[in-house]
Amino acid sequence: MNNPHKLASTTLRERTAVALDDPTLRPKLRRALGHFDEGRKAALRHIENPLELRQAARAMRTEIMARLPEILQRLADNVIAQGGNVHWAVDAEDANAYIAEVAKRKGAKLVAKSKSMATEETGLNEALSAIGAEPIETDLGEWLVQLDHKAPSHIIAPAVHMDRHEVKQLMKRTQGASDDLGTTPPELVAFARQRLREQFLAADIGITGCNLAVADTGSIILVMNEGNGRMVTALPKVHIALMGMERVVENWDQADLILNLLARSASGQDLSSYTNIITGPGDQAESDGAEEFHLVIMDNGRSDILGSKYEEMLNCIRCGACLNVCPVYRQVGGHAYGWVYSGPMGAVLTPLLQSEEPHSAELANASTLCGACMEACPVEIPLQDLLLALRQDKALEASRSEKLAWKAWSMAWSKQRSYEASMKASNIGSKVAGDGTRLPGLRRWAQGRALLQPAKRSFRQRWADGDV
Amino acid sequence: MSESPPMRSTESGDRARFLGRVASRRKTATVPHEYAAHPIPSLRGVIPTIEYVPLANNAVDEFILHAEKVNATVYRPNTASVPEVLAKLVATRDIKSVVFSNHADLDPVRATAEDLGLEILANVPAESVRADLAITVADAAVAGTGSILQDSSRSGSRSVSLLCRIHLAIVNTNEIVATPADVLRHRKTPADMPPNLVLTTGPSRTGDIEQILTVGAHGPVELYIALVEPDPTAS
Repeated sequence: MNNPHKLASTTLRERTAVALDDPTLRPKLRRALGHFDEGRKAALRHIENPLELRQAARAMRTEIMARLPEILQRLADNVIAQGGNVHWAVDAEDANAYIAEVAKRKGAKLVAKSKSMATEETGLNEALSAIGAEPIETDLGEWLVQLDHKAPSHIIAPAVHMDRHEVKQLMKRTQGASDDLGTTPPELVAFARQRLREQFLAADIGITGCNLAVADTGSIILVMNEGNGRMVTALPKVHIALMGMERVVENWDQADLILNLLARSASGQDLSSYTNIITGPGDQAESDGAEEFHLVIMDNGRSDILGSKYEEMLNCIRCGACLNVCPVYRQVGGHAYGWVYSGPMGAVLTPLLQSEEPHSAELANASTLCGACMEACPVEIPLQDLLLALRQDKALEASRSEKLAWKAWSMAWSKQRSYEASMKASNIGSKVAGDGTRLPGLRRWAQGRALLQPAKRSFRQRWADGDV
Repeated sequence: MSESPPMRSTESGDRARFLGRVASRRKTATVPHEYAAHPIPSLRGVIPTIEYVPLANNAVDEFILHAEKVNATVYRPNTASVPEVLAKLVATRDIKSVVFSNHADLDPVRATAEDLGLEILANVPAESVRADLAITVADAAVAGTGSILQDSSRSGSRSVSLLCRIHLAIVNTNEIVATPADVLRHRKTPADMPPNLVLTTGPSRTGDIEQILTVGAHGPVELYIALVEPDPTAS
């Protein structure tokens, strides 16, 4: 599997240290994520039976995965029947190459992208720049992080780590904004609207992701608030959509179930401002729209997850609800996860999709196993079970010396005599260890922890002496 | 951009190999893995009915309450004719130019626009990008979410309701349904789908700056909806 966009080579610990060193990050996260989560709960209260719907969504998505080959066949056939082009992309490199080939054939100089996690995953932008087709992000948050040469830090709110003053400075630095530019959100948005509109009108190709494909009709659904997804599919003559192969349902009742949960879980809206349903290229009755439509169906490691104990992860609809409630994400934000997917879903997906990278397995440690994620998830993915399973897998691969150490401990504590002996030894040991910082190998672990002192006499001794 | 003819209905990559891999992975586990603490419920193919908690006891009021919640301004049926609404918007919202969708019903409104001295732009992006106002007829509306449905083949373009600063949509009250599925469920095959359908729920918006909601992003900044009742004399 070839993915040019790899997990950062730093460790989780290094990246979280950077995040924790930034005193402004946590208040930004707290405000934003609290707002999203309160919105989610309030919006779900507008439905009579939200729990039943979430359970049904879980069952429905699982059943889809059970029949994925036949469903994808039907999707592809229907897209082709409507005049669309389908490419089966084995991995990221394959997807990027196809898209770059289309851009080259069209002589494209400017490519307008609406928000797509899949294109982040593959590092598409680099592949396009390399052939002289300049990609520009048009989702406001994605545009900001692109200009700032950073990765997005949240699925729904890519620029959650930036405040209004940082946005203004970025506009001055990269867009020639004058110092009189106001810092209220409406003024900043109006400035961005005007700037990006010029790009929409000039773009040769529009690239989107795919929130959900509908196999029975060969349609894709794009969910957005700003209208940029509509722009990039209305104005350029070519529309390319990249989809992870699991982002599909069969019919409109299933799609409707997901649509009723998606915007509510992501941002507390009943529906986002625009739910755009596209089926093939445009027709004669439209004076605009794409003449050419491409659907790139991508595997990129998803088939490895299928049939494994991690399969439920494929049910994910990328709403970001789990990020908003995760005590780890709320402290460190998205950049600490080192790749495109963060929060609990990233902690599961990254070890699975980037398994050849060093430091990918450790992402499963970025969790307290509190289970808030599963409670927030609209399709009830048991994320904490998946994280625990990942840790167990990693433990199976632990070094021989680590395994021996654990085995010795477990044998010692399985027999009463050696258990008691070790308790007496810990009494002596605690005098040696002191506050723990003098013990080799334990220094870092002991920092930030109060090493408890064992009692002078054990409970058994006190009981035997009649003192209890 | 080069002028090669558009590619249609091609397929590339290796479908058989791609799906063969998926199918072989599927065979390694005939039932999905379950974690004992959280068993997967069974659906038996039946999606539960989705019901919204009602805010009103009739579809028109339900629609209005939801549409207003998402910052649309709604004119109740029989409060003002569409030409009157247009005149009011022109007087108060700094409108000099207008673009119409291709619906024939709009001809009387077009006449009013001419009388008001508005520049009438053609329904092509090169012109409609300059439009202060766009007037379209919605194909349906969803009461439970306050949404309107636009089929761009019937409107004549995708951009007519997108590039303008202000969008005025006309909704016939007998086209109001309860949930989004009600405008989609009957479309069972590709032939039932137009190339582009949009469910619009309020004006465009973004929360990307400090998660503070700003209404008006790339799409229209303001959305007005004029509800009209079907003409009882129409055959």
